[in-house]
Amino acid sequence: MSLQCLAIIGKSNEPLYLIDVKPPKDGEGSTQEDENDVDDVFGFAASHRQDRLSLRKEFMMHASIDSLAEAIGSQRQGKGRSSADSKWIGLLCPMEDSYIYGYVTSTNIKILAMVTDSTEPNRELHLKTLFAKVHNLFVEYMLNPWSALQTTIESKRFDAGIDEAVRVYSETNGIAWA
Amino acid sequence: MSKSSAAANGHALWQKMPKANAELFALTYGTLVTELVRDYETTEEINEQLEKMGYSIGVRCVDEFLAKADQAGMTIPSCRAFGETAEVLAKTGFRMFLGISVEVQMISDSSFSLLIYENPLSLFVELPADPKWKDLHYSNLYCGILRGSLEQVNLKVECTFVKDVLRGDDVNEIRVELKEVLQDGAGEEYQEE
Repeated sequence: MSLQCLAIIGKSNEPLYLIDVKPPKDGEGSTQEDENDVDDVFGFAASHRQDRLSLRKEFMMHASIDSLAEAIGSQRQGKGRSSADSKWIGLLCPMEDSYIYGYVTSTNIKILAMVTDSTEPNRELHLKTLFAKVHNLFVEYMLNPWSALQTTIESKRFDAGIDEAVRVYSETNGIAWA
Repeated sequence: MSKSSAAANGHALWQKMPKANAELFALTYGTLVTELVRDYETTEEINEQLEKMGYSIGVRCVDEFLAKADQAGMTIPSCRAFGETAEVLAKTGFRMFLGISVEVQMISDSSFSLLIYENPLSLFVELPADPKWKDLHYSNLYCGILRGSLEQVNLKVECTFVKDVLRGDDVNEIRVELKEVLQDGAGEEYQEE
């Protein structure tokens, strides 16, 4: 089961970090394309097929924010959000060929991951680890005095950390890289 | 003063000092630097301001250092060579105030380098990618502190950051050069005839 993309959404639902994960083909190193320029919603900058696919993913992620908001709302009315597990939301919505999972921090930062379907039994567990790592990286990024608060995340250290976390995730899921 | 006793003194003094939370310390310094960035335009001015702040800290720190050492029953004798000054600074001084260990590399009789491996001021910090930040010496406070404290013991020095981990090097290196040994500070009116 492969991770297709990862998104970090801020508390007013502004996008902070959106990336597409592409498994490498033909033995190239694991590269990822960053879709950091959120202003480029209509993909005018580059017009090859890759960008249109990324745009599609962005829309799917955006659609899942609705179900995320619903999940958070009902949870809050329920037993309150004091337990450690309250961060993990779980399966948000199944899309055409993939699932979107969500995670919310206590400061209302949402992390979404889109994975393709598979019969992997430990899927949720691995995803939880991935989300925890992303959360840690995010916290470290926020502690940098130079980080702008509610704009997109631009930091080499953060990018490197995310690359590593995604790589570890894919490896533990037995995806063949090249 | 031998190297090992300087280190031992450092450890002992560190135990006696009141401690602060490292993250709070690093974040406070971080906001200080970002405020300076907002107030000043060029990195030279920011570096200069950091050095001035460090100077004023250093001037006060040296008395605390010598007094605490006295109270703890250690003697820090007058240094006979600049190299001894370096050892005391690195092993006892930095150890006492920050709890970090610093290496000394003597360059010549009147200059040495201090190699700082872990810098508590720059915890979590990453300089933005913009090339103008390459000249910012984030921890320039240290240079001021060294200059201030050594001036109080009649050594006029110049300190600069030669290597900085935030800019990609593997270690922080501060070069300290002795400019002159000052005479005891009483002004002309007070000199005995």
